[in-house]
Amino acid sequence: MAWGKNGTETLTSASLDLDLGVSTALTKYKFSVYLTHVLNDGTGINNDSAPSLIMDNVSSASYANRVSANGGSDSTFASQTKEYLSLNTIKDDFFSVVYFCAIDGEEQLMLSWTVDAKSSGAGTAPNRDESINKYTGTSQFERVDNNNNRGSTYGYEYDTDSNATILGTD
Amino acid sequence: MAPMIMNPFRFGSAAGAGGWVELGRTSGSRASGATLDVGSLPDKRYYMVLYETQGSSTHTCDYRLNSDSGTNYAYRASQNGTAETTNTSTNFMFGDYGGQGGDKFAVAYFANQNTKEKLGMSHQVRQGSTGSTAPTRAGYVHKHAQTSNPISTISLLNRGPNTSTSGEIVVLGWDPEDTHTDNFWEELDSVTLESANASLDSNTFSGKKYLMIQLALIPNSTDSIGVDMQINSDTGTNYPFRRSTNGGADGTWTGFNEFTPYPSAGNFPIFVNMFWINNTSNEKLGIAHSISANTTGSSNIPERREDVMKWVNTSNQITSLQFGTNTVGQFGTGSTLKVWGSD
Repeated sequence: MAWGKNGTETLTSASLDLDLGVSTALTKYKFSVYLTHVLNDGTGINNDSAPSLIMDNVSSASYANRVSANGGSDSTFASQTKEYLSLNTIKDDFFSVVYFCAIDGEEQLMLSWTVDAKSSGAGTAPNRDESINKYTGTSQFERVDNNNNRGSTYGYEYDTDSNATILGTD
Repeated sequence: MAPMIMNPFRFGSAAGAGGWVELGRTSGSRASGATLDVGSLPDKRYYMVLYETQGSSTHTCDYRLNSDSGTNYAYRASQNGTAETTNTSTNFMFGDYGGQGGDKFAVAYFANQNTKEKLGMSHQVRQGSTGSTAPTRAGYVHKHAQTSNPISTISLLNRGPNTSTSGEIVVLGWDPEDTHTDNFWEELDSVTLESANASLDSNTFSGKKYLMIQLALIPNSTDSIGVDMQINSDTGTNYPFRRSTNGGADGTWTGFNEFTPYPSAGNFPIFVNMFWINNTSNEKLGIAHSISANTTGSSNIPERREDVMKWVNTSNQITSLQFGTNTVGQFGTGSTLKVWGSD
């Protein structure tokens, strides 16, 4: 079965949400590629959390993570409430590529890579993150939420034109 | 023993519209300072770039966007797992540590929004010397500080000092508006175990220049599994490779008669994602990333492996794959191998 589009969202205005599979569940696939290009709206305080994903709206301690920032030693985090794309907080535009493996009845696995633009301009080098995660839910996922310190407490919103996309195949 | 196969090919699902589509490619030699350009690109949100080059003399494979040779780039890079290098205000996107000839292969991704800086990432394997020498690997992130236009040209730059005698850059695209069904990645083979088996072998598939391979492996019952791999049933010592485990220092392996994309055995699911350049007359170069779930539950941290691999064969394309558990255990029912390819 060919790779095909499973879900995509491009924000037409700044939003606290950049989620896939909310109104209509994503099709369950064994293999998926998730791409997200998050744009910073330049307001609020958005440096209290690292970019992450929440699967199937499950925010209990159902995730375990291993992540390296800028080639440093791996950091590990057990019993987390989300899948981390980055070790560090990101308050800039970032781009992540994630490969998911979801076998029904098994914990779900992901490989991801993220580039963080850092301050604008060619005078600042971007950051690089490599992470792996597992989600202990054993039913193939149907929803993926972007999560980067969302919430009115901090006022940070994903800016217009931020995008999340997922392709899938069995 | 050949594995049981169910649903080896399935077409016609809702998926199939809007995967990666080829936008253009350019091939040829590159003198020092020259580029291979893929221009007139449509404005897509994401690009996936594959390149492969040859040349016995030292050459490089770096990127430029929109033919911009100004000092508008910044990068971060790591070679063979060593400390990262950063540079700013460069006139190219660093995509090759240089200092080597030989064959090179990389997979890159770029995000494209016309009013935003362009961001990219890439993984590269370099052949180094021919034969039993382990290949080298590198990872990069890129930034092009250009916020006026979308990406319209992606170029592969040779900083020299010598000529790359041949090579190719292929640009794929994806956009939310895409509805095409002519995906670049064609399914070459799909095998799912219907019963437990110590091996998970492909069927013979068409030889394609570029390969993408996924393995979703689950252990049978209480068995422990790792992953070993042979190509075209070759049992010779033709499998040099390099690996980092959990971000640690690279090790190299030569004189082996198989790759081990995930050598450590456990009663855990494993996921492997690989890309290969598969030219008949060149040694085949591969890039693999793997994750093992570790013991069930969120209190147990998964583990990862990063490999680059070289199949020392200059006579045949890869047309079959043989995977084993690297132990006495068996893969469980539902374990799946997917092989995608394109010329």
